[in-house]
Amino acid sequence: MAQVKINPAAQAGAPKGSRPFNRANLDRNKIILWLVLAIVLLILPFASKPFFELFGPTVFSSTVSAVNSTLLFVLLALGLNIVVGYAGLLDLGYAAFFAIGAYTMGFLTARGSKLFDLLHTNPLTEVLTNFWVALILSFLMAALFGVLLGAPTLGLRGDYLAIVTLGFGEIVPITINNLTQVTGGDTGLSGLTQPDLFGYQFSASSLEGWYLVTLLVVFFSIFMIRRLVNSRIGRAWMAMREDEIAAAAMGINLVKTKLLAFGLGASFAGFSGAIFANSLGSANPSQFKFDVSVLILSMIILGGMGNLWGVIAGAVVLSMSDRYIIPFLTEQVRHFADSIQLQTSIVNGTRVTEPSAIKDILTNVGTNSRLLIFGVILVVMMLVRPEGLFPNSRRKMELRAAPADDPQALIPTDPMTQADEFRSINYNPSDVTDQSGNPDGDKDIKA
Amino acid sequence: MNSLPVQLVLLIVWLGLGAYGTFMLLQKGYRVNSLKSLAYYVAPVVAILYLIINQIQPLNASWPGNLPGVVINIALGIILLIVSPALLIAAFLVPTQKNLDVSARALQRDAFVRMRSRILLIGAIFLALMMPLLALSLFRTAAPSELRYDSVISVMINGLLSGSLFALIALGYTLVYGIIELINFAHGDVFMMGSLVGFTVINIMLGTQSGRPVKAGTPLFMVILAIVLALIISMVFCGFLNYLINRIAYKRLRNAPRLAPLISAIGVSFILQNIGLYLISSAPQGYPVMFPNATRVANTDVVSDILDNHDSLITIPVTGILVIVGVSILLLGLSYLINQTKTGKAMRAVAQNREAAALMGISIERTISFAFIIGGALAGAAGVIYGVYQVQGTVRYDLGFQNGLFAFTAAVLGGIGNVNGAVLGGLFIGLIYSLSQSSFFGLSASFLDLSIWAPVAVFGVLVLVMIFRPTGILGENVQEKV
Amino acid sequence: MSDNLNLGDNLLVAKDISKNFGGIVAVQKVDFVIPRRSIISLIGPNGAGKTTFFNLITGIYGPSTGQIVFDGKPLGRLKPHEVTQRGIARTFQNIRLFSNMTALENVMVGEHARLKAGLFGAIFRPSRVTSEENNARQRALDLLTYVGLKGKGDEFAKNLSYGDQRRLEIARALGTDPKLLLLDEPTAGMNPNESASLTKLVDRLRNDLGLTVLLIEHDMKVVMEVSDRITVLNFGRKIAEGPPADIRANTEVIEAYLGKEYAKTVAEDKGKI
Repeated sequence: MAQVKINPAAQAGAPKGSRPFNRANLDRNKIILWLVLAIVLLILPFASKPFFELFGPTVFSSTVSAVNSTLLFVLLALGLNIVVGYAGLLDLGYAAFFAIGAYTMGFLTARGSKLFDLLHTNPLTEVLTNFWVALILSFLMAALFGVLLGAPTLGLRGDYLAIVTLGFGEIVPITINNLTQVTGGDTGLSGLTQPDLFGYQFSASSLEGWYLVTLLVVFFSIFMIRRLVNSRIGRAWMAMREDEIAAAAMGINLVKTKLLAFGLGASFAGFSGAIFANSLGSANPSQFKFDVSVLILSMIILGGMGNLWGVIAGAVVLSMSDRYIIPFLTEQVRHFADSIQLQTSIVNGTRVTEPSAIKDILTNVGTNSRLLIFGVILVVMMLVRPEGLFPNSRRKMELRAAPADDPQALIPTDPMTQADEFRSINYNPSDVTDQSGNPDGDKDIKA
Repeated sequence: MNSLPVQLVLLIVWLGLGAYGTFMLLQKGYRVNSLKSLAYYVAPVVAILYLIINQIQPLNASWPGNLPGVVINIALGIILLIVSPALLIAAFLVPTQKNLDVSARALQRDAFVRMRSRILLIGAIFLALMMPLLALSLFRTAAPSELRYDSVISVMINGLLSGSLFALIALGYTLVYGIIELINFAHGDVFMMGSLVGFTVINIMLGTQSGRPVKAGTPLFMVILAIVLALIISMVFCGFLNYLINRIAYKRLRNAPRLAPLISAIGVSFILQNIGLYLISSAPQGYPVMFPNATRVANTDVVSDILDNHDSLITIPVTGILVIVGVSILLLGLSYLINQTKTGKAMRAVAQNREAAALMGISIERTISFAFIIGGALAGAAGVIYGVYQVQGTVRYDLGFQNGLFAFTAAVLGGIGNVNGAVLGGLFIGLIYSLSQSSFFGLSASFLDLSIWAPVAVFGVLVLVMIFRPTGILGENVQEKV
Repeated sequence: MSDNLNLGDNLLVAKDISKNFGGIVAVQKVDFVIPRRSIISLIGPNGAGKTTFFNLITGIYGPSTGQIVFDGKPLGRLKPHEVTQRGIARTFQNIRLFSNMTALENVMVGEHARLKAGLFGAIFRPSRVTSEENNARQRALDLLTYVGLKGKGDEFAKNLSYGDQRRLEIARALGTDPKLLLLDEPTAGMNPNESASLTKLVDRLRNDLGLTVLLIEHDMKVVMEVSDRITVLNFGRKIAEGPPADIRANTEVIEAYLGKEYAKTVAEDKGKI
């Protein structure tokens, strides 16, 4: 076996994909580490319960519920990362697939939903209302919608695709909201039947069960994504992200490869939507608005697009701060606002309170600052560290324009060719015309 | 005439065409002629519209006799048979680009054919959407009041009025996109800030409160002065705001991957929304009612006179005149600015070819800033006019999100990067929104209450246009520059 | 040898190919054959339609009229990836490597269509997939060695020298296991030494691997040295075709490159001599 000599400099930056691909090379220590981590995480809630209960009766359950929602966000972020980070397709309507998963679960398992009633009467179809079956169906349904939306739109240029997905992301919750008779309108669905497994009854309060289920799914997802990225499919995604035309010229079926990413990403959202709805016992259209899509996007951007661990870290950081840090800070602001004394005066015998704009504004700051923080994250990250806090070396190179004095930049790059390179994320027919090609030509080849 | 079989056949034919269009698209991937597929998709829409309208007839028991129904059916059938073929012909008239010589004549003919087909297509779409409705509404004596022609015209006028506001916002998207190919996602929120600033100025000037009428005895002169001042301050403020946004959030990302500034723009949008939220809290507020006793200017119209009808339902609010006057002045100004001034020419040059423009000594960054300032000013003006026109619930922190998306849809529909297209698209979106919002179809059963579907209609248009004709109706300028 | 046009042995036959963009005709009624195991060059002034011709063959455009038959089967309106799967690979005039992937990964992307692992295979890695991947990897390393990039497999493509990038593009194209290789100005921007070694590489591609090569090239030294036959395009039309020696003497070709006046002088000069 002719092994290639690797010079040390290149080795430092070498991505994992170029590691030889056989089992013998898998580090045994790593497997052990993984197993230990898995076991620790799996028994953690049971082991730590007494500890948490020292602080108060509800601390444990509130912590587990925060962890559960974090895990769901990790799943969502992992899914969106497949679409945005690996395949390079910006999806701004990701929450729609989350909603589709949640509502599929809702329709199938909510007592009172027409579908549930219909299926429940027949012993043959009753199995569909079982949580585990419904979970798989929700997952499939989201993937199906992902493919349906993807099929006609994936030929679009990157920013256009973003807007179309945004439009779709708006249509879905409005539709759910409007179809009152089917979806319960803005009150949503409630009374989802929750599963039992080996005598353990899942419910909105039995948080450990949900924790275990979600954790297992997260573990499997990590395993799956790691494998996918270092495979033929992962390479195709990467190649497509870099240069679509060259990728097509190498025999990569762009439509299929993109659809795979889109469908897979959507199915993650469907899965977490289903678990989300069932663990809460209800689903409601206001839970799937644009801000959820942006929240998830912020997570992967904060962590570092295209980097598995970065994305997980981003999801954990943002979700936890959403749960603990932001409420804490806004509460401080609110307290401060409350402490401002209002000027009162007696006019014509009645007490008149002078309105204080500062107090009003501070009260508002104290109540609604969540989205501001996501907005700031998006802007600051894009300006300062587009590769995220925990970047993937390759993605870092893509996202940062090489500085002019970089000795590594051997190819003469003027700003325009760089811009071209980035534009070429998108299929661009005029790119391949020769000088004689009329730039005006063949409009109907869709960019 | 029992028209159900006819309708069914028509529906099947049209749906078949739609399915064929989809099939073609999936089969041929990128190479499908998008005009044709658009036609395939418009066709079923027309058919469904036809069906819905036909269904109204039995719903309304008060229609005297069978005659109007028969006439309507025949009229609609004729329209459908004339309009829809026109649509298809228009779509097929797109030059097939076969056997053309490299001669000036061939080129000219080619351009002519293309232009003609585009005009035809626009006309056909308009007709296809409007004619059945107008035709139906002409039977004013028989139809329920929502379906009377004058009510329809009212709805359409309102649609055009709000459409012209969408057009103002859309211009901001298009100007910026034309030059740096960035979807300025925060633009809708600049519009919101404009509305907010105007609200504050007017309240200070007139001493009014949210949503209340102006104090009795305020001279008209003061009211107009307040509006004009609000317009000016809001335009300056929003122009500056947009300039700042560009400087802070986009300028450093000129050479970054295309998605980077878009993500940054989404961030800015969230930040602006929150600032709005801090300033006005989450409860919606409204502009003061400034023209109390003149909600309508027209009480009759030509057709009503002919029909000897003395209670025309056509209403144009006084503030509508403000919209017409304001928007016209702004559009004329913009047109002058772009076509006649040096800066405007620089803008067009940069939009065409950034490098060449730079080599001709045009400062790219200054031109970009200028586009942002103009776009912002237009959005600011739109914010104030919108507030004065709509009055209720116009000062809201999330005002910019949906309206911004609608305006963006308008820009895309008209052909993003194309100034005329933005205006046309704005009017079109205004019409679509207004028509789908009205209780036009007489079907207000909760399941089919169309007003709640209006946003879906507009977003549906957005998605369809993006998929089938990303260059928009008038879009030529979007050809990617490489 | 190549002019011996045995129709049964042609790898690619293009008949009556035209392509117009709006009113502009980029390629007009071109007939073209590529015999197996030959090296054919396509030359012509800038804007003659050479790259458009490449794009027509590789499916980036569909021809307005005419038909291309490859290896006995018409290409029809296949999409680029399907054309590649049929056995046509190409390089690009302006290098289009996956610049943030390593050289090795670039070649492995080239092997994409020859590998079979699907979603399931990629995730669960049955032994079939593992051995497929290992073979692909080995083959990619071999290809890198073949084009002269031994030991550079783990370098990022964008960090390679210009000449190496050109070579890597060829290796990547070879990864698709082509029958016909289209090279779009492979020596553009190279110094004479680099050109000469690339010329040798092209010759070896045919001799060692039995490939058929279609070459667009401006460097006449390379063209004359390596081609079996040369086709000259001008304004989208084929104006000459033949072995290098004939093309060198063809007045119309000289005219196309240097203008009528100059062609006349050349002809007169010849007359004098």
